[in-house]
Amino acid sequence: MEGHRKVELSEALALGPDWRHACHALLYAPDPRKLFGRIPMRFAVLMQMRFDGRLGFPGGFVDAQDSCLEDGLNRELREELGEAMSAFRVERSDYRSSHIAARPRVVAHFYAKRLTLEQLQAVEARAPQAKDHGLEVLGLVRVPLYVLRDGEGGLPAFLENSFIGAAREQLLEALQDLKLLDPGIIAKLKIPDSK
Amino acid sequence: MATPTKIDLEDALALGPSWRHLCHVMLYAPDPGVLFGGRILLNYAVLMSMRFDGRLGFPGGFVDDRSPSLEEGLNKELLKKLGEGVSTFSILSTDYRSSLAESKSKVVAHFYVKCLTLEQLQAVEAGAPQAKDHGLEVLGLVRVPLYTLRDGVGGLPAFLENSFIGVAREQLLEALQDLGILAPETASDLKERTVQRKQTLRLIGT
Repeated sequence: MEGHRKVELSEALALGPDWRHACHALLYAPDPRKLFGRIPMRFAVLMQMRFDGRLGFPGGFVDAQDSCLEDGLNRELREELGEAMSAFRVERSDYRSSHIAARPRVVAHFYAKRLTLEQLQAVEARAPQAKDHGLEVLGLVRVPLYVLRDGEGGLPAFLENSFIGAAREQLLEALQDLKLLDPGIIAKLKIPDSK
Repeated sequence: MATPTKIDLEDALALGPSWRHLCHVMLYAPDPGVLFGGRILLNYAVLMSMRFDGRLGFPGGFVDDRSPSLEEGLNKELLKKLGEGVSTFSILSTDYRSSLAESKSKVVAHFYVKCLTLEQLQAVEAGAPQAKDHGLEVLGLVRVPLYTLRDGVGGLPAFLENSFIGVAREQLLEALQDLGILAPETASDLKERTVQRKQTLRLIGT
């Protein structure tokens, strides 16, 4: 999409002090349940409704006190999602990609962390008590990974929502790379153009 | 899709047994919170849910035919969708606002608006992840941003660009205006922007 260019992590880290770094994480867990007893959920994947009315991933800006990207990310995740985030840590090995935006000078780093379903449920259960709940975070939502019989309901309709920055692209790339989607679904998806 | 038509509650209840009744509720509470050091007042917390079909809607669902009243059916449905947090209040007939009938599918949708205390609304949010339908028919609860950010787009205008089921977007704007939460000129401006955007999307073929 316009305004966002993918960069290598090493290139991103070499940028000057006038650049700000933001880190976000996709948290996911295998989910054995079936919607209406017949549609496999496959995975629970978390996103959040932000204060600006758009869907995004939890995370935020890294600041000068953070000794590395991951320290900043985990600090932001605890503020946005609450104490259940203390049970695990998003690490460099969970890193996926970086996107650069020229205006404002922000480079966005994206991570994907696999949890157990119990860990993910604990995150959901504690999120309403988090510091940012009702303020910068309006609520958590799971991503529907199926396509309903009408060909629109489920993931296609979800992708029509408003997304911040490169979040839609990050979501789709992660879903495909991590093989979270049923292979038959990918063919059905007309990937919408970025808005 | 077929156009739903407004129908009086008495007429809706007189419809034959082949009709199904769908009930949804907008839960809201006064909220003294502020964003960004007080530059943005939240004023109210208003709840919507991300549904299994990837669209935003209000919590509720189909009322069981055996339910003694619409409200009892709705309260039972809310328990399933939102969990035990809803047990501190009941949706009453006085919370009823409107009905829409869709003759092709023989569904009549009833809309309710319920004012809670902020503590009651927070109890709903806290209980929702434990609800029976959480992660299945309900993918999560979200609050509605009622403000517009300085860029003129972030906040409510961007929120209204999300996918909504049926007439939920219109119901939201109408309820916010009726409750005095949104000024009439703001509500009509937002409605107009949504219509314009839909026309633009139709023109460019997405």
